Amino acid sequence: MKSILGYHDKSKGTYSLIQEKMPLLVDERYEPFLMSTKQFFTVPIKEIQNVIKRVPIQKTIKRFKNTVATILIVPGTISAVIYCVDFITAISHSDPIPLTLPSWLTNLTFWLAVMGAMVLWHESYRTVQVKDRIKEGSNFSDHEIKTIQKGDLGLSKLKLASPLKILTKDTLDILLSVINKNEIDTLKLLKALIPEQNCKIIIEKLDIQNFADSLEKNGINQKSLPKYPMSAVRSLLIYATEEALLTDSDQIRPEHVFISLFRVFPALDLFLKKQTQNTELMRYVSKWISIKERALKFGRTFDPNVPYYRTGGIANAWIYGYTYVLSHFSKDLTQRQAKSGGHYGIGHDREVEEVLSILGKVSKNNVLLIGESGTGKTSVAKGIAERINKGTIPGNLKDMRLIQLDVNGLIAAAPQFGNVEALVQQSMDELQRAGNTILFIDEIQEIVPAKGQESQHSLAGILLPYVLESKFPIIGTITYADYKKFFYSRESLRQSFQSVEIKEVTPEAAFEILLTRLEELQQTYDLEITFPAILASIELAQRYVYDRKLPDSAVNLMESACAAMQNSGKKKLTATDIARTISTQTEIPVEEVTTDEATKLLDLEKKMKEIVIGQDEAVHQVVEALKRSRTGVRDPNKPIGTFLFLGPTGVGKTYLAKTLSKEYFGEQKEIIRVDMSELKEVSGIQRLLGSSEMSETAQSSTTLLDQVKLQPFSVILFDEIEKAHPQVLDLLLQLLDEGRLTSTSGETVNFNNTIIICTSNIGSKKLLDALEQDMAMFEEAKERVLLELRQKVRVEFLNRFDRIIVFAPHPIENLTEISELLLKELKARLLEKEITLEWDDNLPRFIAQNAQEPGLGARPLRRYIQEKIEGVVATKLLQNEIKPGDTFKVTTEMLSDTKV
Amino acid sequence: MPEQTAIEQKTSLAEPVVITTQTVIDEIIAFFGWWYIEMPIWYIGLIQRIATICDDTLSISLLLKTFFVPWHRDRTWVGYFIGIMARIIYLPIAIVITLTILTLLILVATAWALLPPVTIFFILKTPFT
Repeated sequence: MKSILGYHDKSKGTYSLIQEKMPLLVDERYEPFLMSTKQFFTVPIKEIQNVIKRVPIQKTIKRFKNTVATILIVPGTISAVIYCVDFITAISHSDPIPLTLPSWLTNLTFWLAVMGAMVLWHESYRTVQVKDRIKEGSNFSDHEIKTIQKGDLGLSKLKLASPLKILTKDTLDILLSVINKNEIDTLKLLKALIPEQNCKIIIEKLDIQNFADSLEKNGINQKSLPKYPMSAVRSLLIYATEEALLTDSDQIRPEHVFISLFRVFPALDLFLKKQTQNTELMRYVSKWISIKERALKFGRTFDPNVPYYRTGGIANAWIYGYTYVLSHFSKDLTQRQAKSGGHYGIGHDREVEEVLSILGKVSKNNVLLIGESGTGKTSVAKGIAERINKGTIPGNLKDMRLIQLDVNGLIAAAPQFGNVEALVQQSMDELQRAGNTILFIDEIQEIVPAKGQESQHSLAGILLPYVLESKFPIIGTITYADYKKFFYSRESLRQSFQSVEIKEVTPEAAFEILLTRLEELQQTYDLEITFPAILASIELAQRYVYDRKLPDSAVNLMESACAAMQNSGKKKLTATDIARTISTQTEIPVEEVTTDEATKLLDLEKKMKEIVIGQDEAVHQVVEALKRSRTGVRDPNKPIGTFLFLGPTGVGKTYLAKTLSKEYFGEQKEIIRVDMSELKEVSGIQRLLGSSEMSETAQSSTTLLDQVKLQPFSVILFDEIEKAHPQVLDLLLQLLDEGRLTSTSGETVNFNNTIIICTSNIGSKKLLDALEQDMAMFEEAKERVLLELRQKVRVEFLNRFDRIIVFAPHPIENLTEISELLLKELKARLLEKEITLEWDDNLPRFIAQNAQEPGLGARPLRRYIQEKIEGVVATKLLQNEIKPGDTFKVTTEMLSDTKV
Repeated sequence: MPEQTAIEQKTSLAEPVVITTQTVIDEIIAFFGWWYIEMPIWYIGLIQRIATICDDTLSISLLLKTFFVPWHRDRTWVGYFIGIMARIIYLPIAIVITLTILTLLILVATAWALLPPVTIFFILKTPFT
């Protein structure tokens, strides 16, 4: 928390904090205030009244002064010109010009002009400059907040400041234009702010169409934004100050007043919500405007308010060694950062501090940054370069530079310099002698030979001794998998580095990172990128992109969407475009549910019941899970749905899983099937998570995690879970609860977009026996099956399923329907060969009666049709008894006669 | 928490602008306050920045800190000799350049400080010469 709002009750002498509601305090007894860790802002009403009185006077005086000064300057300038001409005439001994003024007049007009110039200069300064600035503070600690809540504000440590001195001229003009002597018109204020440049940017970036027109239609009028007594201006200024503080601005700009109106008035807040936006997003836009302004200022070397980065100067190379050869295939990151002024290491402040403390040591000062791809390892290294430039580093790192080795460039440059070995030798000697260089090697595994491939003559073999001896600090980056592969087994290499783990950044940090890239992306792709698009790229990247981590996944998604937009010819990137891009990439419908799709989802249950016969309860539960997922109602940190299907073989458990996969994930996607009977031993865990052995065979086999990484949106079927080893089931506990598993190499794989179905044959016999007796007995049998389940499988495991569904064995009616379906499938296949299949009305029942085998479900029907019908058709086709265009009718008599 | 509601007020006409002697005095004080306080503070910041730039570009403090570090880290007597000699020759030149620049800046500051009284002096004096 960077700021604390409150009000001072002057009658009681007490201070209270404003927690949630944001009132406009009118009663002059209550004086609003704002605290940061450095300043205390308050604005007495007298000060506002003075400003209101003073400003019109100042404007009049200013006009008067400017006019007079301009009048004074003109004759003075003419006099100066005439004087110069006289002087030149005199020294060139030419004839004097007749138009010569008396010297006293020349002098007088000249000095009056000087006075006029001074006055004009002062006035121009007053127009631009604000008298005070908001100082950048830190967050309040928990202890400080508790102390303040107890009543001790610690005012003696804070500097008193007035928001009136921090207002830009534009903001002050707008406020004064809507303030009369005794009141402020808040509706007029809102309307006056809308055309302001930064407010327009906010409206555009939030992608709110026809903003001004929409206001009236949404109930924004004099009633919802009424006139207030002038004392309400104090609250407005305090809230605007808070907005400036929260958006890293040192002045109060018009958009800060704009945003604070949306916080104060419920009607405006509701208007924003209807546009699916919020004040937090407005604040982000304002923050981005602040970032842009700072970036524009960067490069103003002589501006004392802009940071200056020391480069070492002319003699830098005298003190340190030249790195002539090395400079050909390396990049000086400190120099580059000093030129660009870029901000790096966002979201990794702790890691940057840790790296600096390691680099600052005298010995063992090599650092290995370990993390998944795209988490920002290189950005951390560049953040070190930024800190070196800023000077906020341990003393022994001052005047150091960070250079990044270009391994490929080194190999490419080798022929120029002789051979690789000589080149590397020379470069490393230069580095050693230089004494002021930190070497950065991205993807350091490139210089480490793989085990079994040691070579003294390879690049790796030459560089490695320097790395091990560590004559200069080295920063390397590597992923978890490569660390395990290249470093784990090498004790000496591992000991040479101190590891710093780089984790995925938070969505908030990813947003900040995208803000710094926003201008560059807009210019590169010639597009307007809205802030909802930025938010969507982070949210959807987190949810659907698994091969990269934040922030890289979000940046990549944003760039893909921008590239796609270029082809479409549209000029504005919205959240819908981002959703469309990720849908195209993943083949998953991610966009908002459209009317067509809503109809489809609502009809899905009916459609699936037509395909999966006799298991209505199971279909219903599964479709409900899909609806929750598609409308964004479900918990995104867990699988879409987790189900346990019980029942005898052939009742449709796997068929339902396949139908679900086809209906939800598409025709092309197959289910991922894990036969748990193959995981009876504890070694079965390797089939799921991968082997810890480094052999090629072990590393090349495909595990469940590999399959899910390739196909993150799928149905996963764990068949016959009762046969798996208990430790394998323990793994499933984590999977069902948290939706992720970690491989033996440390890589985490998400299962958030999978539907997990486990099947079991526990209690099958009881169900079959119940069906033979009476359907009414079936419900009782179900209860006994569930009881048996709890006895054989741990309760904590069962508790993690969304639903446990018992599949009923098929009675004859269901088998008849299934026969009908199978015949229709055969008919469709034969139609492709232009052969029409027909059958008697009683044929499906005939098949059901003759084909059924107790306890085997619907599978015998398929075998029966294959043997009795498909076989016959195939034979007749070969014998040319059936040709394309013919109709083949199947009768019960035919099936009775047919020999298998 | 005090609940505040808007109240209807009659809008009154804006008061006419009245420039009094106090206003003129305030303007004069504001001018001189800016000329002799605000601008010098900014100018001191500018001088500090220019001093930093000179020091950084000419590497003065860096060379002083590393006076005995040998030339290009060549730790032979030649390296040490050249290193010290280079500093002995170079540093006075760099310091003179920096001092010249700073002197010019101070002269500008002096001119700034003198300009208003000089201007007023000549404006008042000239009609009588």
